[in-house]
Amino acid sequence: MIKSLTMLLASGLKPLNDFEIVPVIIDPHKDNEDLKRTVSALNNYQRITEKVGTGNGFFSTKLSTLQSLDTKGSLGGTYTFILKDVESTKFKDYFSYNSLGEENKALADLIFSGRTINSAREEIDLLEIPMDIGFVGNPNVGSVVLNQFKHSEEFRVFANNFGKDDRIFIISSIFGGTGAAGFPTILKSIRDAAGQSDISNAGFLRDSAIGALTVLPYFNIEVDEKSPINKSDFIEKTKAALEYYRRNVNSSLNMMYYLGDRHVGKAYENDPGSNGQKNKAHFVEVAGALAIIDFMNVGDSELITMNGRPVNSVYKEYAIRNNSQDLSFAELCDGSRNLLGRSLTQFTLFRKYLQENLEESIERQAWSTSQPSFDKRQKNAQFYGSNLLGFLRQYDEWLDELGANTRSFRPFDRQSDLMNLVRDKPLQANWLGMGKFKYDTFDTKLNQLDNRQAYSSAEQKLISLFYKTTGEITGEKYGYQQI
Amino acid sequence: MTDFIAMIYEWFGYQTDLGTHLRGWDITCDAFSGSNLYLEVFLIMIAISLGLFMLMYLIIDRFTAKFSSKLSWWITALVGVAMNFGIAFSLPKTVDRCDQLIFGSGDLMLFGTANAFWGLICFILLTSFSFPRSLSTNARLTTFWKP
Amino acid sequence: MWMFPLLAISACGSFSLQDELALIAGDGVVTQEEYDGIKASILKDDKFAALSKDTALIAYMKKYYAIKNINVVLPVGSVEKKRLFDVNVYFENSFSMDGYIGQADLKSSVYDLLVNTKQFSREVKLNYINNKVIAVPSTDIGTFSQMLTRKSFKAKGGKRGTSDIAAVIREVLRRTDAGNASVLISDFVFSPGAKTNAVSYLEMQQVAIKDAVIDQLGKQDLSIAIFQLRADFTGTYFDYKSRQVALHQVTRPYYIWFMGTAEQVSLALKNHIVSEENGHLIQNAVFFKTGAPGVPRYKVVNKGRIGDFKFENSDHISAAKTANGDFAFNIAVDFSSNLKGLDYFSDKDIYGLSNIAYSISVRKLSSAELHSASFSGYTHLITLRTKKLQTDQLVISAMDKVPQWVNACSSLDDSAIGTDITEQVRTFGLSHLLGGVYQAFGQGVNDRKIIEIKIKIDK
Repeated sequence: MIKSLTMLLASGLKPLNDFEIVPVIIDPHKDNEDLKRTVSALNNYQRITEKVGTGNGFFSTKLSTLQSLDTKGSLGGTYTFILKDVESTKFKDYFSYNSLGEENKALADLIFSGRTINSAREEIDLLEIPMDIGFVGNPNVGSVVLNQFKHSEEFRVFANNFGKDDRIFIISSIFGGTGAAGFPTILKSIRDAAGQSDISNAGFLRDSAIGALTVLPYFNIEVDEKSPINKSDFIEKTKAALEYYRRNVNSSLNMMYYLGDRHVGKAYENDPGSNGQKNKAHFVEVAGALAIIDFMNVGDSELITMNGRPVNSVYKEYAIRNNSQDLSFAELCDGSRNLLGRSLTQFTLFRKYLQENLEESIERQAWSTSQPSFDKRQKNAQFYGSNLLGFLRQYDEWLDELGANTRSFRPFDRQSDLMNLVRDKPLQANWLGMGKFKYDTFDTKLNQLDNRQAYSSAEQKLISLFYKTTGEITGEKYGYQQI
Repeated sequence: MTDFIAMIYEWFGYQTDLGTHLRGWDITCDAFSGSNLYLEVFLIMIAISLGLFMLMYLIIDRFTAKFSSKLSWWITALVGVAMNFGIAFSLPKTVDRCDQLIFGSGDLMLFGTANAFWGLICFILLTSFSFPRSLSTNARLTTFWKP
Repeated sequence: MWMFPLLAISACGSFSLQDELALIAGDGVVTQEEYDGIKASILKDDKFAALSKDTALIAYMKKYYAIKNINVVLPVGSVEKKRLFDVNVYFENSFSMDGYIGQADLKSSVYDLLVNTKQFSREVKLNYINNKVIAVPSTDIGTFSQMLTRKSFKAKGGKRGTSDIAAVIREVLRRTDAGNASVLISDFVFSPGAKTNAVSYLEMQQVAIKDAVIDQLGKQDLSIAIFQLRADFTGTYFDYKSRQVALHQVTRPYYIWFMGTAEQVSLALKNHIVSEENGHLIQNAVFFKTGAPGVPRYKVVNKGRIGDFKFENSDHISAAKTANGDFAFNIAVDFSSNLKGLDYFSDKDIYGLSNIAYSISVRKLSSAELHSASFSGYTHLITLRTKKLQTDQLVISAMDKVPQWVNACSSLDDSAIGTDITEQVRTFGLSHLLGGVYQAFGQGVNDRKIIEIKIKIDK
């Protein structure tokens, strides 16, 4: 979901209020491929904004690591919170089962009874679970472990840098695994921070505006008897969790977002995680990112919390217009359509131009040669060559995955020409052949808009100019209102 | 004005008689009451340079970004050179000349070359300064020489 | 935006005279309105200052249409008023004239003269003259010409023996005034007589003639055109010692003088009072009182130059360069309106130059040249040459002189006339005769410049 949020922020989607976003990903899955890809995208994003700033339309929201807040803007830090003592550790060793007294042992046995499967697909006792791949659908295990969060260094840094107007948004999945376990625990840690002596700004934390997103089942898993993840358990566990939230969690939240998809489609590979859990991007993640933006757009007056209790709680769900298996912008309701349509179209046009036409235009067109000039040297430099292109490749991959999934989100026909790029709005030239959208038109617009302002560097020019140009194009050709 | 034009063109070394004809030595060989060809050719040259500038930088520029490169500049300049040469070469013959004046094709070619040269300079100057080049969208940085 | 340069060209004061002329001639007629329109446009532009006068403009238009072979009717200019005057013809009937009148030659010339005179005069009155004037009562000129015989001369009487030429001239001049021009026909041969010293006699006559002419100049604006003609002579010739010499079928010169105001003389010349075609006229000399020197139409022409120069104007050249130290250029001049006649101006000795470093030569323009556009309307070509080119205002003046032919045709000893054919074409004392007239017209005049041409040369 963070990856989708990153992509949306890169494409220019921006909350109404200017927020800096600090993602903290809590996942013991060090080898989680998805996590790796997300972090890589975040790193590219950060390097891009370091170079060109956040006033350029694209990449216009600041993303920072937790640690960088402390050291005031210097690089460094990670986006992940690594759970301690989970590497190659069995659950029972985590809380030192063997050193417990007899009664506690018995209690543990009772609470953590049951069987599960390990990474070698062998059936083992719950207490024997090795934890470096998450809690494999056992939130009862996870909640114990994630309690360490409130004593962590990361939590302290988080609290130190927490201001009165800052907000918190917690994203988790409701079905099994890390997410279900961590969410209530973390929420409690924050609201009850006053109880910890070594945590500063506890008052702010207690009365902070907190939003949460819970993702209900949206994917199908291959039936694999040998995997510890079991599909039929999902529904049961979902119900249980929802009931628990209703009673213990919802009242602490200012806003709660629910997302899910009843469609049961192509199954994901039933991979518990050791081969790198590489889940393909799904539209639900895009909707989730929209939830985050929505939360940031809510006014302060609606998020008042007193004594750790929000004055009112709001619950939101997400809907699309048509129950179609193959989504384009037309299938979305107006709000999403305007937001996503405009930003993603702009960013995709930007991407397509760089892929297909930059070679032709570089050092030839006025927008490239005007000062500061974006020339071939620039093209081969680190900013473009590795950061921007790296990010854009990840963007391509993300779009491809969204399109290949079921339910698929495929707003663009990326292999086609410029006229037919946006699937729900194919462009047509009039009978004279005028109005054709070609790279020539694109170049002319770039040249035209380039003339109108000064840029601090070639890189900044690239981002800002293309944002403005694609903005005008989406306005003219697709009818999207510009902001 | 005519004297200045005559001076810069006559640097190219054609016969005095052609210069006299261009100044407007009329058919009765009495006085300069004929058409002032120097002025006419010069003004046409300026018009062509201006026109070609507008064509490349403003008119074609409105339709496409493809003809904004250095190559386009050279093509436009060469079209101007050809047009100016052709006009200067053929115009003097269309005006009846005093039969006392003797000049031939060689002189007309030198005159044509002079006009083509000055036309090229004119085009270069038009495109060298940021105005009026800045009125163009795509070709606003296309120039022979950046002062 | 395309239009501005084109408008600029057309608005840039480029009224093209030639194009306008070609345009209005399209229908074959130039109406007064069209003419006025052209005139108005010309007056606006300094370039056409030379054409601001109607006469100059009409002349230019005629020339232009002639060159372009366009037939156009031009608006009629103002009509000149004719001044009518009488002409008295005096035929000298002394004995020396007998040799001429036996032949048809002179008679036919006289008849021709009388016919021509009638064209521009009111009345032609006929007379004989020797020591007195004998009027011939109203006779038609044909009869008069026929009646030029020895017999009728005898019958008319008068003292036919000696001719005191000065007295004859004085008498004729006495009878000349603004309304009466005179024609005197004679051989003008002085007869000093056997006993008189010829030269002293001629000198005395010269003074007397000078006196008579000066007197007349005091009374009227006088001009004299003297024509030399040839005719057959068979008869007795009286030489300077009054010896008789028999001549048979010899071609001898005789003279016709036309005396009147400058305008009358001009009219007579324009109307070819003595016809040129029948071969009798040899040459002429015209005398008139010169005031300030006149300026004929002239222009520097391009061809035939040595070295190089640019035109500032038709009389001002600049950037003059030599070719190997030599510089030469030509000037076309129109002497057609000068009474002295085209032949007079072909003699380079009449010219003076302000800068002696230049040499001058003159010739008449050939008929081929006269047909060309550049030379039509001009009569002569003056060539100036120098080895010392410098910035200069060159003044070329033509002086009033006794024409060269006078000396060539004058004799101081005609005794051998019977055998010497060179003597036969001469007239005794001619130089003194015309010398007297010449001196009379120069009386009170400081320099006898009749023509002045100025050319500015900038190096």
